[in-house]
Amino acid sequence: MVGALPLMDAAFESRGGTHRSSVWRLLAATPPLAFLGVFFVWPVFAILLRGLRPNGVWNLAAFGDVFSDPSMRRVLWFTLWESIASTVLCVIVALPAAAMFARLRFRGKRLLWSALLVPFVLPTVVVAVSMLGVIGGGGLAGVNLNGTVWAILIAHVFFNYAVVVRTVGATWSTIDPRLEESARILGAAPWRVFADITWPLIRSSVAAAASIVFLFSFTSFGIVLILGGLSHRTLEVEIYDQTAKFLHLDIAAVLAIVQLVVVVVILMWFGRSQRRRSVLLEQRSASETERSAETPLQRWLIRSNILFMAVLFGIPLGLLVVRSFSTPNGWGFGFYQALADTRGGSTSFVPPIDAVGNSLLFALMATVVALALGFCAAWAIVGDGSDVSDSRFSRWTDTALMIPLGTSAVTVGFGFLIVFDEPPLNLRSSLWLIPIAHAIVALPFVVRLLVPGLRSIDPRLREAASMLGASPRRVWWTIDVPIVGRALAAAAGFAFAISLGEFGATAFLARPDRPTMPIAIYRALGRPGDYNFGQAMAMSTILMVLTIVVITVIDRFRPAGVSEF
Amino acid sequence: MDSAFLSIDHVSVRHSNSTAESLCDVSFDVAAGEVIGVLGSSGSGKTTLLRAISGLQSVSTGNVVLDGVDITKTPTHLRGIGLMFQEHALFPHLDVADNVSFGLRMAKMPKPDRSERVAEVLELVGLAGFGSRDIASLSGGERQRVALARTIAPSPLLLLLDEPMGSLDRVLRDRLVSELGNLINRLGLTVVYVTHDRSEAFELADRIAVLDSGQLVQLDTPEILDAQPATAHVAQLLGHR
Repeated sequence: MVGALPLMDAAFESRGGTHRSSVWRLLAATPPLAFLGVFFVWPVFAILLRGLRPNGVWNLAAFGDVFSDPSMRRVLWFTLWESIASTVLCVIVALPAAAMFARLRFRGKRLLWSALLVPFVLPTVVVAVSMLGVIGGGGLAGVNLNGTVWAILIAHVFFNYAVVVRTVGATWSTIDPRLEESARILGAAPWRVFADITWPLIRSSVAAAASIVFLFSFTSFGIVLILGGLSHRTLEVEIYDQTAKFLHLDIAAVLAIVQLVVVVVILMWFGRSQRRRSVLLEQRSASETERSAETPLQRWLIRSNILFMAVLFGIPLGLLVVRSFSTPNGWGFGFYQALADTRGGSTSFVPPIDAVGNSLLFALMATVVALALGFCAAWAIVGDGSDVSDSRFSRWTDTALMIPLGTSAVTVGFGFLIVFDEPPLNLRSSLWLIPIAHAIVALPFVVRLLVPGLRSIDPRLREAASMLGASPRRVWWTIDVPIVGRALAAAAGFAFAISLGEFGATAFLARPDRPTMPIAIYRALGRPGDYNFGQAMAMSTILMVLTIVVITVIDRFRPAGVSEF
Repeated sequence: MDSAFLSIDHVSVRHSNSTAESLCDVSFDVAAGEVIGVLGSSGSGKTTLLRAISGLQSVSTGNVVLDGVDITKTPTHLRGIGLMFQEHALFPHLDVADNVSFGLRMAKMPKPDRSERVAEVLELVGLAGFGSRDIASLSGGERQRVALARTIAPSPLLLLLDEPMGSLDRVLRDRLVSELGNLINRLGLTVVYVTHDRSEAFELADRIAVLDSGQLVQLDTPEILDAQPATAHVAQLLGHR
């Protein structure tokens, strides 16, 4: 999640290597690329082979079976229109907020801008549970939307609102308001100003945000699994069911391939649309472009946006916390205490509270892996900044590391399941299997946060240090590490948060006796009764608090001006 | 004055935000065809005055009357005023011709008339044949001319210029100031010209208004202003010692 926005900064300054530093950079790039090869490319390849060449013979019959099956066609069609509807809805409700953040000054703006990240990084399972509290049976809203497409759309807007607001808002705030003022003076009515001036200038960032929202909605798993009921299923859910419930690996492989093709097409379209945006804006800093709200319309814009956010985010999350304390025996910690015992149901062999420890351990392991590899990769991409050319190497490494962003977590989990279950690499019983999958998901974000951090180091600092007699290793340790420390901290926080909330891949890989928190929540939801739902809410609250703590820490360390995410 | 074309009548602008510049009870009249230079240091309220006249800034009290019509409450896009920013604010996604014809398009002028008018105006500012050029490819002086062409193309009743030479170098500025003077005379435009540069004001203006801390301290012809500055601040602005 968290924005494939990084894909946007396709432009790289030409930098690169004298011969010696090229060798070093190649060496630095090797571990992350090898990791990607073994734990991403290989599993995906295995899926491709499973679908295209079942039983060792090239055979596309499985595709025919899938496409001629009306229920599969329904799944395909639903996935497609659900993601388009989510995207359109999200853009429509988020654009006014983007305008507000870009143009108006108001109290608490900075805080609100940061706080928007919270719903975005919340685990899908937590969001689904909190949605059930509002629009589920017996929910606050009084209508039961559970199992309808509306529940899915609202949850997708919940998640992706920040993507659109922050991506478009950041671009919009760099547009000189005098352009719009000039248009007004030249006789353009307000809606003409938007249509003729503002829209053409923000269009590419809207397209960028929209394609990310589309990808997230297209590959949405936890939300659809929990809120979609039996009738609304996306490809992602279907892949999971075909694998985990029906053991139809061929069909699952075909569906994964279809999904992969769509994702690649979207990413390519996205890349092209970004390269095409050639309009050079004289960028203004945001403080220059914002004005205090003076007209009634502007004040109304602020009020209605904030009200919208309060309803969209405040009510579900607030209700989740409140209801987690509201037991049949009155207010109290009953549901939390119940997490410690095993009587919840026959499927849970361990007390749910163990999942907290498991999640923290896995997140720690995943963070270490992602950070170590991400640092090597970022260093290989940036180089030491002092040398000439060789940008192709940078770009190539960078692109390779971004690929997992566009792939669904279920594909990663499914791939792991069919590859690492047997020699030469049997990790089925290894504690590392889940952390490695999480690291794959987190790696693109880690690299994206570290690269700008490393770029910000003035090469003259390194030169000065080596003039003073520091060996290259010493330079790295005394100059690079402290300076990128902040970026490292932010990246670690992100990796940790992603791992905590990861559901799609984990659903395939978690062993019954070692559930993570999202898995424990999902299991509790699968059992009937208020008691189990209460446990799910209690566990969701714990997971939400953990995620918010991590995000707050990130926000303190985030290097200034690193882009939208 | 009954013959006033533009009348600024006890106009005050107060910002909720105290750091921004504001206006305090400013009144003056401008005759048709007159060029008023507005001189003042930064923060004196010069830009706010233009924003108030153009409607980009709503006034707290007072009235703005243009050609006999009270336009104080008229939305900006219906005022028929031209304003040129120091930064030129050319639309980066449109080419030169589309920039210049923007106001004509908003006025719903038919397309053939539009292209004719664009060619005419570009010729006027010395940029004949620049229509298809990309904004990014223009030099500073060319941008300034395009901005001027865009502003005068819809034949505004009143031309407001906010430090139009501000971002140009000295040599270019001197040349463009005299060109602009000729153009204003030829078209008989009524102009309010904001600047902090004494020589620009003296070269172009019939009368000069001096603003200090949002107040109008003196409004006179350049000669009288030079001979009898009303306050020490005015004298300082004029470069007297």
